[in-house]
Amino acid sequence: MKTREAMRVLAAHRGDAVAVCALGMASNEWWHATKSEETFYMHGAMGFAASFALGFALMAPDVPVLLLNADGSLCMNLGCLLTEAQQAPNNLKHFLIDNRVYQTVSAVPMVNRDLTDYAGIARAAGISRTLTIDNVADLEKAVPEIMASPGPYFTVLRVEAEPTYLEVAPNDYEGAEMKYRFGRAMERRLGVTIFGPAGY
Amino acid sequence: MDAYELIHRELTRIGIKLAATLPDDWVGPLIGRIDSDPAIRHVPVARESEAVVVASGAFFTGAKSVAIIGNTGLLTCTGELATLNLRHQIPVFCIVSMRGTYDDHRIWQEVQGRRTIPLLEAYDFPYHVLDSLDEVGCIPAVYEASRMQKRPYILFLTRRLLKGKAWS
Repeated sequence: MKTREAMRVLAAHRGDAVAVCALGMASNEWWHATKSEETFYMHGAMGFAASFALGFALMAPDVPVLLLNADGSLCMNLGCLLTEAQQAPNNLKHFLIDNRVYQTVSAVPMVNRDLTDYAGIARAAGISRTLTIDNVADLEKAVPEIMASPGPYFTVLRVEAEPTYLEVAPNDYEGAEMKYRFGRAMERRLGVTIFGPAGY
Repeated sequence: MDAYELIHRELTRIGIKLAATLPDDWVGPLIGRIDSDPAIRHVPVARESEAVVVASGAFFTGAKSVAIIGNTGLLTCTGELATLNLRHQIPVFCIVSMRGTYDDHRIWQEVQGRRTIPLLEAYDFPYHVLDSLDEVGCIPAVYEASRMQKRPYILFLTRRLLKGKAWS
């Protein structure tokens, strides 16, 4: 299964979920698939897309939140699984792109590649619903159930490492514009005020 | 009232709805009070960077949040504060113990005491030092300043504030 195929399936079943993407390949491929502004594309704090998604999900409990994490990012912040398990947000669905390489840096092999069982780590942390999927047909069948299930879900998507992702451009805005585009989208979506009358 | 009770009261006045925390022995009692407060969602974390990023995610729901961590923990998350909060201009209000000062004689805090402020100044992270009980009422103003500055803003709690004078 290629990352792009997995993203296509997730995008098709996204519904009205807000998405948070780990930096690098996950962000680029999701942007390619959706051009979504109801997504926060992490450009910094590598490893912490899960933490960002958790904070958002906890304070917007009626909004489905899709976390598109990646193995390199998760390994930088494995403790996030403990935090996520304890908080157990009903609306957060954690997907992990597992290609066993640091894709954005010349596909250097991941630490402990081929041995790490991320779903097992998540279960041991206390996230009871986990899956590992390595083909598109199984993913097509599983995603509707994952999205409809109450409670946290952790799904590993085993994909091929591939050099072609480099041809996928990142989203064409960054920095403060990322904050305001996503923030204004959330103001409209949630009916809340994030930026006060003076704009901050 | 002690400092912890006063600080908690000010956080309530601000309307804080989420507190992401990891204790040291100085901020631990404040975290304990927040954990018992049903009006604040308490998110204990496994490392301090999680706390500042959880609070950053909550920002985009319109909720008011705070990260409560120790001084050493602040040093561990400056990379995340720079590459997420500084880069995207996301405000994050952090309450942090001010360790290694002239009246904190824990030897393992001595580097923190000397280098934390220069580190914050290198990153241009604003900060305010809260040193006495009769100034605790400034906390809502500091929170508002953190929003205006659109970056990490550190509220330091001194030993004198939390434990009283160390000399006679």
